[in-house]
Amino acid sequence: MVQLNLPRGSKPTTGKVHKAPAGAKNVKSYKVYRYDPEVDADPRWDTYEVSSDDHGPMLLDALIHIKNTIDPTLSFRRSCREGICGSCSMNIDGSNTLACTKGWDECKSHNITIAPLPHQPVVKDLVTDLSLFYAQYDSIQPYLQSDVPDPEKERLQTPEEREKLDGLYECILCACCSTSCPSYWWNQEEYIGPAALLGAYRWISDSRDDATQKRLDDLEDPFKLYRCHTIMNCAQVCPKGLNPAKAIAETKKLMVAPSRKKEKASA
Amino acid sequence: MSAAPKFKNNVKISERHGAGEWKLEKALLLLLMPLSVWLASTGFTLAGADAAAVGAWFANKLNVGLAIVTALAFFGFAYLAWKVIIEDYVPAPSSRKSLSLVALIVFVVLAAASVFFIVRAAAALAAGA
Repeated sequence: MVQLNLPRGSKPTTGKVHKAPAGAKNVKSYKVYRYDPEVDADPRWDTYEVSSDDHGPMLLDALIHIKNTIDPTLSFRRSCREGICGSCSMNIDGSNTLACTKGWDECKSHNITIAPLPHQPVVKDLVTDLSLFYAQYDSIQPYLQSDVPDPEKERLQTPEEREKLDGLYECILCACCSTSCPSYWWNQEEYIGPAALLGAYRWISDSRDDATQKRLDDLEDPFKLYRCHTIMNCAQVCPKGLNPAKAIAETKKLMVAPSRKKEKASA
Repeated sequence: MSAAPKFKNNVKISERHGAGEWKLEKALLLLLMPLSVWLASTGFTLAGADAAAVGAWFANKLNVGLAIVTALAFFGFAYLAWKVIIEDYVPAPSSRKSLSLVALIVFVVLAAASVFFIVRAAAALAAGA
């Protein structure tokens, strides 16, 4: 929701600086957002100087190294470390991405800034509360709804029908797109965001799904869908290279398609 | 205009409208593209022209008709654009509703005034021509 004044816990102060040991080579500096809402009055930026020779090539390796050897109180989510689970999504040098697929050598700055996903409540440090994000995804009913009784084997698709799902089904729900979207920052209580809308279009496009009109009806809303102003941050940051803005545009086109009008009137 | 939104599991329930407004916005935008070119070219043509040339321009009913359509499309589009800005930046539903109503009144008045002055100018210049 739009606010003129920043709420409590939004103005980070300067925190501790953890210097690299004397003689360390290839030192990079990581400025990391630290905040425990239950304890701290305000968040702070802690700085960790780390030799790149001491850890692997990815930023997640650097964070794990910091947690294991310098500061065990640092909190962040991680799991697969290969860009599949979406757990380690965070804001790195001003852009949302996955820490496990972002190399520290890809960051131009010598001082790399690492913050939680923007505009989400912070649970602790780099861990955000994504309950609303998951509820929004749940609301689009991300599962097959067919009027055809279950066949004995799989439901078949032509190669062309299957091809329509490329670029849609690969979403890993890391929330990089939704939390990079200014419209989502302003109105996330009502706008369901690019990730949920990409998921909705994935099922709308599925030839095996028979709930297309119901799905479109459930999305037709000035806020749920039409807060997308094609800002394109979602497509720019998606670590899987997907384009939620295009999926939203296609959904908007289907909303005003002549076939939809007919079915709506007969419903 | 809708009342306070309803939610299920913290997610808004669809108001089942919005596509019409989106379609109207795009239609007005498409209409304004050629009309803007026409208006700009008219401005260049009439710049520095004498009263007789302006009178002759207003005597053409097609010009007057296009000027009215341009004014209506422009203010209609401007209203929809302001409505989007209000909905984006004003969080309280009641304030949104009130401000959108104010925007509607302002742009209806501006559109009506534009049509009135175009018609009046056309009549006056035609009478003087």
